[in-house]
Amino acid sequence: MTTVLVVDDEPGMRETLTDILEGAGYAVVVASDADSAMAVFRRESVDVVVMDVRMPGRDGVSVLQEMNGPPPNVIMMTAYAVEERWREAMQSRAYAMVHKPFQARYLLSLVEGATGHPV
Amino acid sequence: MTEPSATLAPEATPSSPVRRLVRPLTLVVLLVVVAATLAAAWATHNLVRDQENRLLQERTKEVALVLNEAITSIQSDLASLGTELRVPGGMARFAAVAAPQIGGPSGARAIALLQPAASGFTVTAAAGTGFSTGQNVSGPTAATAATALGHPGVYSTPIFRQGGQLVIGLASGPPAAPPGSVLMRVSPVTGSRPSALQSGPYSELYIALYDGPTARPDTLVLANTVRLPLPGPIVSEPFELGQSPWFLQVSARQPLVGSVAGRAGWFVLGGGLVLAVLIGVLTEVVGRRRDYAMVMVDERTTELRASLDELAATQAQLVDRERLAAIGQLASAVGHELRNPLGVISNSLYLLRRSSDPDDEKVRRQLDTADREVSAATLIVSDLLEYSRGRQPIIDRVAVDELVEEVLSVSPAPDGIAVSASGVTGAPPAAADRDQLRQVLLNLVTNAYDAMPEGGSLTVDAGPDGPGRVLIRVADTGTGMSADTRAKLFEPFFTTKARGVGLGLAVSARIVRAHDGAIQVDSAPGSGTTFSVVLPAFAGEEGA
Repeated sequence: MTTVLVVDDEPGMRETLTDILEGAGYAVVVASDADSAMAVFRRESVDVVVMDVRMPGRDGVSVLQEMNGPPPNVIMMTAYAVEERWREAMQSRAYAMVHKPFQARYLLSLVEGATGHPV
Repeated sequence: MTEPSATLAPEATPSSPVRRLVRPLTLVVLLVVVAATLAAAWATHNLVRDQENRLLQERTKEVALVLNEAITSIQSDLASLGTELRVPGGMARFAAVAAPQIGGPSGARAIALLQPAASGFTVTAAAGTGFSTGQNVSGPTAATAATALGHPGVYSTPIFRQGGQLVIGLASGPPAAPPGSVLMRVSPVTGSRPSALQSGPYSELYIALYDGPTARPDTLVLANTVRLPLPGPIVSEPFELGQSPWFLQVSARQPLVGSVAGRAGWFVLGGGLVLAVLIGVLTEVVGRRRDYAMVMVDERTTELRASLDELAATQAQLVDRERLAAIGQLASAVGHELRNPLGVISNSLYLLRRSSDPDDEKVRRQLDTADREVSAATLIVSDLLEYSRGRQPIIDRVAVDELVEEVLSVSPAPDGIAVSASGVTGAPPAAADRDQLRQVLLNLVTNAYDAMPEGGSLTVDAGPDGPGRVLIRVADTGTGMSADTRAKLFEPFFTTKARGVGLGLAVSARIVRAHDGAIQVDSAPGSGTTFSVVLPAFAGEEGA
C-alpha cells in the first residue's frame, strides 16, 4: 500500500488531509513539526510526503533538504501568496507546490502523479 | 495613482523674446529727448538772435550818436570859422584861420568861402588843396551851396571826385557863414572815417551811411567795408543831419554776443543729440537687462513650481507606498491566517461532498455555494496581497486547459449559469506564473458570474494568437457595461458591485502586463462582456 506522510502544524489540516487521502485509498502517517516528520520518515517506509512550508521551529524546506536521497516525492504546501522559499524548494527537488486553499481533487492528482501509478 | 499634469501644467509661456533692433520704449524715449533738444535749440537760437538784435540796435544808436557828434563838431567848426571871418580883416586872414582845420586824421582836405555868381558860385577865399580863389563852382557842389545859402544847418554834397580823390563836401550858409556866403568843407571819403568808428567797440561793426532816406549806392557817404549792401542782419537807422534825411545801416562782423554764445543754439542741438543717444542706449541696456531678469524670474518660478509639484507628488507616492507597505504587511499576516482555515474548510467541503448523497441536488448546491464563497474569500486575500506587494512573475510552463479546469472547479458556477470550457482543449501552454495566471482567471470568472445575476452562459476558450502567443477569452452574456465603466475598469478600488474592494481587474491587468501580455475588454450594455488575455506561449516545446 502506498504510504503518504502528511506534515502540518494545523490539526484541522492534518485531519482533513488524512481523511481525504485515506478515502482515496492511501495509508497515511502524520507529523506536526519538522523533527517528528524526520523521525516518522526514518521509521516508516514513506512513498509521498505532503508538507507545509511554514511551521514552528524548522520549516518544511529544511526537512525537504534533510530527506535528500532516493525519492520519496515531496509536495509542498503554503498559505503564503508570495512564497520566498518556493525557488529553494523546487531546487531541492520538491515534486510540486500548492497554495492553500487548494482543491482536494487537485492534490489527489498530484499525489497520484508522485506515486507514478493510480491507487 | 497620482493625477498627472492637471495642476502641474504651467501656463504656456509665449515669451519667446522677439529680437528687435530697438525696443519701442527706447524709441519713444529717443524721440522725446530729440524733440526736447530741437525745442531747446530753437529757443536758445531765438534768444541769442534777440539778444544779438538788441545789442546791434544799441550799437547802431551809439554809432548814430557818434556820427552826429562828428558832424555837429564839423558844423561848429564851420560856425567858429565864420565868426572869425566876420571880424574886421578876418577875410584877409582866411587861410590862417582855416589852417587848423586842414589835414590831420579827421581834418578837411579843403575849406572854401563861396559866394553866388552869375552862374553858380565863385570861390572868394580858399585854404588846403582843391579850391583856388576866383574859381567858378557849378554842378552838384553849387546846388548844395545854393541850398545851404537859403537854409540854416549843414548840407552835404554827394560824393564826388576831386584831384583824384573821392571827397564829400559839407556846406553851411548864414548865420554860420558871413552873410551872403557859404562855407564849404571838403573831406576825403576814404581814410577820413571818423576815428571813433575805426577802433574800439565799432571795429566789430559794418557801417554804411547814406545821404538820403534809402540805402542807394549813389547816395553812399561813408562805409568801412566794400561789401555792400552789408552782409548779415542789418539795423537801419534814419537820422537827421541839418534838415536833410540821412540813413545809417549797421551790421555785425562777428556775433556781438560772442562767437560761443552766437553758436549756443548749435551747441544745445549737438549736446542734446549726444544726450539723446546716451539716454537711448542707457534705456535700451536697462530695458534689455530687465527683460532678461524677467525671463529668468519666470524660468525660475516655473522650475520652482515644477519642483514643488514633483515634491508633492513624491510625498504622495511615499505616503501611498508606506500605506501600501502597511497594508501589505497586514494582508500578508491576515492572509496567512485566513488561508489555513479556508484550506481546512475547503477540505471539509470535499469530504462532505464525498460522504453525501450524490443525488441530493439541494446538498450539492449548498456545497457548490460554499466552495464558491471559499474561493471568493481566497481571491480577495490574494488580490489584496498582489496589489500591495506585487511581485515579478516566476515564469514556467502552464497548461492552460488544466488551469481553466481547476479555476472552474474551485469556483463552480451558480445556478442558472451554463459553463462551456470545451474551447480550451488543445490550447498551447503559456509561459506564465501559474499562480498569478490562476488569480487572473479566477477574477475574470468571478466577475462573469457576478455580471449574470439572472443567469446566462459563460464561455471560456483559448488558442494560439499569432506566433508565440496564447489567447484566453472569458465571455459572459451578462449585463455588459457602459463606456464610462469600461474607461475606469482597470483602476484600483473601482467597483460596480455591492461587495468586493475593486482590486481584481487592476491586479489582473498588472499581472498580465508583467507577463509582457495584454488584456482587453469588449462590452456594451445589454450585450455581455468578453475579456481577452494574450500571453507569451511557452517556447520550451513544440506548439500544441
